[in-house]
Amino acid sequence: MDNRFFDNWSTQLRKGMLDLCILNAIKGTSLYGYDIVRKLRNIRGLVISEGTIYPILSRLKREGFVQTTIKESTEGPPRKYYELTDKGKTILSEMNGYWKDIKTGTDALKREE
Amino acid sequence: MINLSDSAKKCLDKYLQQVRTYLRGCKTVDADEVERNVIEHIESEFEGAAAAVSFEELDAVLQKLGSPKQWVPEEEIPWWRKIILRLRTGPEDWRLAYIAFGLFIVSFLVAKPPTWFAIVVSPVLILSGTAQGIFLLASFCVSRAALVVIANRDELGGRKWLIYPPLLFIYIPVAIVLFGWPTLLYKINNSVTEQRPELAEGLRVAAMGLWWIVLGLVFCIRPSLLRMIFRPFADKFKHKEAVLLMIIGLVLIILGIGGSALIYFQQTQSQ
Repeated sequence: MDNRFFDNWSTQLRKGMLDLCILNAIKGTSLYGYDIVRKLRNIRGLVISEGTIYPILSRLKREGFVQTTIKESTEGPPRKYYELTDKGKTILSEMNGYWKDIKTGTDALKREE
Repeated sequence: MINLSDSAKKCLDKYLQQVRTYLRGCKTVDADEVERNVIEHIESEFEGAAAAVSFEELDAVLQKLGSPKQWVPEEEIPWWRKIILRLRTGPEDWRLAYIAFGLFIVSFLVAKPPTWFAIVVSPVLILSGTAQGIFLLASFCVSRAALVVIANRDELGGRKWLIYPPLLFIYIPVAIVLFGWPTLLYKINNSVTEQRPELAEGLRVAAMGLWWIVLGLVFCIRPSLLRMIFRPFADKFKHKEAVLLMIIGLVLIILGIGGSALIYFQQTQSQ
């Protein structure tokens, strides 16, 4: 029962965190899909299925937060690179601020224990 | 382009085929784009591989990539697939609620001819062993099991719409029989009412009142009995309600006997 509770909770948390992490991963740079996956893979517990990142990238693109450019690759076929749009930069700044507040509040609660 | 072994190629084709199947009818996701993403991901994983990629190597990457279903945005999953998904992977308490409702619906579909008025005869259907009765009983049992899992009535939420119908189909006839059997079955066949049939109604009311006093007494001693029978509808039943039942029973006795006595004396006076 406790495991199920933890699984549900962590799934919900991951859903929200993935958007933030993807946007942060491409902040100030342009990366192609697999590069983003590789970066997020290093965060323990964040990426359960690597395929979940691509639909999020598509959604972020649809919502105008990221844009894509096709670039030739020396190692294979052309690759699609993702980078933040101005709208994406603005929302990311808001999201980071919001997350900082939540984290600070949570840490403060933990210290009170 | 990466070099895949035959079995790996078949595996990838199957995966992409499944992705396309799941994305069929999807408005916001381009299946071609997803396919390009999958292939790009796999090519990046095996970049620089000297030999042909084996089935096992590709399968491991696809496992990490995740189920083909995940490419469909949650808001675009059709309602019927959401139900199947919830039944297969959802939490137990939702699964049981869906199963209970499913069995309840089936109980109507198997009825020949459809017995839509089964609410008043469900115990008869069950006792006579008809297919409809068996499905009704099964849906009732699963609903009760779901209640045990959920435990707190306030947490039922939307599940009540799935669980309540099978419960009510059993509870309503059971309640009618439990509280009203003296009126349903009581036949006053003694010498008094044979001679004076006009007194029968009053005595019937009094008999029911007497029965309610007995019930009230039993439930006053063990209020948990009624709560258990009619869960979750009687969850708030306590001693106070049992006493109220006894009072109503007493009032019925007074009305029944008083009414009969009044009729009796009026008639004897007029004679």
